[in-house]
Amino acid sequence: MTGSTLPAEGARARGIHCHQVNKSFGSAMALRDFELEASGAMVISLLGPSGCGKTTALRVIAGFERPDSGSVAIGTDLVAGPNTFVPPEKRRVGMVFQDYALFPHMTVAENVGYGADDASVGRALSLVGLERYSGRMPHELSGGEQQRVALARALAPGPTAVLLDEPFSNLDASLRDRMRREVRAILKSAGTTTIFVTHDQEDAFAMADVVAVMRGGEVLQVASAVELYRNPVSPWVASFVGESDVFLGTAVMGSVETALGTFPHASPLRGEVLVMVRPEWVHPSPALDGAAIVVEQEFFGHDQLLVLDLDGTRFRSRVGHVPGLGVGDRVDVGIDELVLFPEGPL
Amino acid sequence: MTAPTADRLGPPARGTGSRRDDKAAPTWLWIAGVVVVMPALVPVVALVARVGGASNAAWDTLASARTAQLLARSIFFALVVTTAATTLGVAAAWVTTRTDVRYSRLWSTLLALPLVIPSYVLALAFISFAGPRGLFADTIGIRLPSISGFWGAAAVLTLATYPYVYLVVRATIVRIDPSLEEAARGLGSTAAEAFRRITLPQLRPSIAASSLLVALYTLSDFGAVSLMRVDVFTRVIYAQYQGRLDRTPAAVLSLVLMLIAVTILWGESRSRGRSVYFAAQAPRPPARLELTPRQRTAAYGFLSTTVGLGVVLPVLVLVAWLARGLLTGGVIDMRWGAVVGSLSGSVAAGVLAMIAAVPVAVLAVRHEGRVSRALRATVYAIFSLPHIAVALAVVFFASRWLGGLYQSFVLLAFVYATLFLAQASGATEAALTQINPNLEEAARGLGDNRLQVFRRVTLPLILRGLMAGGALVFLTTMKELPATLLLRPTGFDTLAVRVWSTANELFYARAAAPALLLLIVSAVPMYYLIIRPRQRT
Repeated sequence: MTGSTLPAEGARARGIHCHQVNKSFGSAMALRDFELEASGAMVISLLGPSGCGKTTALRVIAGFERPDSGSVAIGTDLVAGPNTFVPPEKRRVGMVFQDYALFPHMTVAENVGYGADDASVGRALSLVGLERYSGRMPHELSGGEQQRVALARALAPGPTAVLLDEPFSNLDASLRDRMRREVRAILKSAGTTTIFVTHDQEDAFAMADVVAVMRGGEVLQVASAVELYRNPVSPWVASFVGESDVFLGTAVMGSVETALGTFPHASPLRGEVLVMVRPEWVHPSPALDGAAIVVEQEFFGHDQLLVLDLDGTRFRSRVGHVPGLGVGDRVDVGIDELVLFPEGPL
Repeated sequence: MTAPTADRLGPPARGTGSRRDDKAAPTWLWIAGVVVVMPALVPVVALVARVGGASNAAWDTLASARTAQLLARSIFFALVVTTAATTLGVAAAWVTTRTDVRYSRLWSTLLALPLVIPSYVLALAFISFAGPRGLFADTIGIRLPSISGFWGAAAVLTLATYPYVYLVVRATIVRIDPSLEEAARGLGSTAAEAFRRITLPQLRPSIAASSLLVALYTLSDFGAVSLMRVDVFTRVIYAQYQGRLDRTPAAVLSLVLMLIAVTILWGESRSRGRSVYFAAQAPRPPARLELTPRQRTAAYGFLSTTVGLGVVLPVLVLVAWLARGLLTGGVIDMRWGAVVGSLSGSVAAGVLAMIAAVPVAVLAVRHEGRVSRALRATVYAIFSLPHIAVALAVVFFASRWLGGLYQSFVLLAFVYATLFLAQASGATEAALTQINPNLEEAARGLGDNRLQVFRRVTLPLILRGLMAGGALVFLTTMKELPATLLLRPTGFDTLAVRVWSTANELFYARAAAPALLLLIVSAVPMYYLIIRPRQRT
């Protein structure tokens, strides 16, 4: 390995390319025509509920599972395909396991040096800020430190890509926030392509440049966090990445009519549609003759969640402090944004 | 004779969530697994072939009245021992867990101790105490009615085997919710009735499993029945093998014995599977039955008689014989050749078993599937089959196919390792299940191939378990008797053989020293295998 940054594989194209990958365990399909393109120093998140196949995808990329069909390329090398299967030790991907998987019988330096030379160990440890811990044993470290060692170990050999499996699930809430920022900064300065798996929408939004939402072994949508939140492809994606309320509506060009009123839209959909709004897009303003009534109020400090009722249709609003507003008060309702979906099963 | 401690050797808990399929294991690992299990299978197949090849003679043996008699006697013998040991074991478990006898913890340990005494040492202690030319006859001058024979041997084996029932039932009793029995008392049952109607049915699966284990042990035992001259399968097989030119009858009888053992094993594994349903955590210690003074006396009498006959008397008798030998000068006859033989055989067995244990354990834990389960089941079955039958199968195979190896040290060491492989692979499996498979995957992701990962990560982490398994095999081999008798090279001697042959010739003083040595040797693995883990529950 050469150069001062990790990894220094200048000539080699970085990135991971999965095409039409299928993998089943017995009768259970874990991956269904799985597609993923990641390149450059990009951090991409596989987000989905447990059992959606996201960890299988990671294991297929790392080489711990053999896909039934489809192809996987790392950099410019095909590593899994019809007649190709490169074993994990030849793939040059660094894996960070959910439980870190630090070798209990080796020191921090020995762990980090497992797949790399001494010079890389020093660089990797300084990248994660743990130079002084090199002689410690894994059990002498805190959870956050263990995670950084695991990251250093994955980065030390100069991998083409780094894979992280639920990296923050073993950390408590306050440490979690800090580690998201730290890990992202470390990965960005290392400059590798990163794929990380999580079931936590906050992890994905805070860490990733691009989020791929998975369900039932399929990738449903690949987009930036903002795009995913504001323009989900289905009501299911909408509710998985945030709070949402869905109503029936009738769309004509430029506007849609719902139980809450008629609102403008820019969607090409016409006729019967599903209308999704997020609680923070709903703005109540107190009015004595308001159409809606506040039926529940839950106070969180930085904001509050209201449940409103308009002629029997219930929906939520997340707003800051509204002076004098309480349960039983009448409000008028304004809606900033909404998303239309074709009518059908959620 | 080694106790088949199947409850301990049952499958270790599987790791969760690892969906690794069979295919993932490389071919060479499968080959290694099959190769190390082969030596166990080939002789058994050869035995079947041998019996099949001499079908007329085999049929004569099988259909003879003597064989029918032998079968009836062996089964009746096993039945008597099993009934007695089960009764004794359940009673001991109940008294120490559900009554207010004092020092129940001490009693619990003492009651498990007969496990450390090999059955032939126990038999030696009894006949050298109460038999003709025994201590009692010698010092008091009164000859007791013969201790040898069917009932004497049944008593010895009962004392040797009741701890299996006792330990299993005890472990179950303490996990039964005591409020069930209390509810029965509140509904008008007496304490005894509540135990019989509420607790006993819950204990039934453990009792069934452990008593089948006792039956298996009894049918397999060679040392005690041969010293006490009871013509059951093992003793007759040995006599047929020694005394007759035509070895077909011995082969036929071995096969019948194996079939009975396999049937019992099958029953045992089934009853063990069913015992899972009430294995809850102990909610709270049960209220203990307050004994009346008279009941208390009876309880202490029962406990001290059991411990006295099972542990104290045998040890005292052996020590007395050793002292007598020392005092009368020179007849301790501690043959160093036997010590060297025991040590060399046991070391070789331990090392071989450690090597063979690795592929079996890795396949069983990391590549669970039909084939690896079959390999593992074979290893455990060989461990549980009567050793005299397995050894005889090896004799037939080796004398026919292995010419130069027959009655060689190498073959004997291989047979030891094959018989006791389950102990080494069991300990290795336990160590391996403790290791997160992610560690191995992490190492592969960092650029090592499977063998490198094994050397740098897996082996250092399982080494303690592997060594413990090897040590177990070492200590178990020290006690082994029937396979040694059948397969030892001319002039090769072990402590177990010394004890058995001197006791057979009624030279009790000479048997005492090697017997005591063996007792110490077998105390160590029994402590680690059974007594210590049980005490933690």
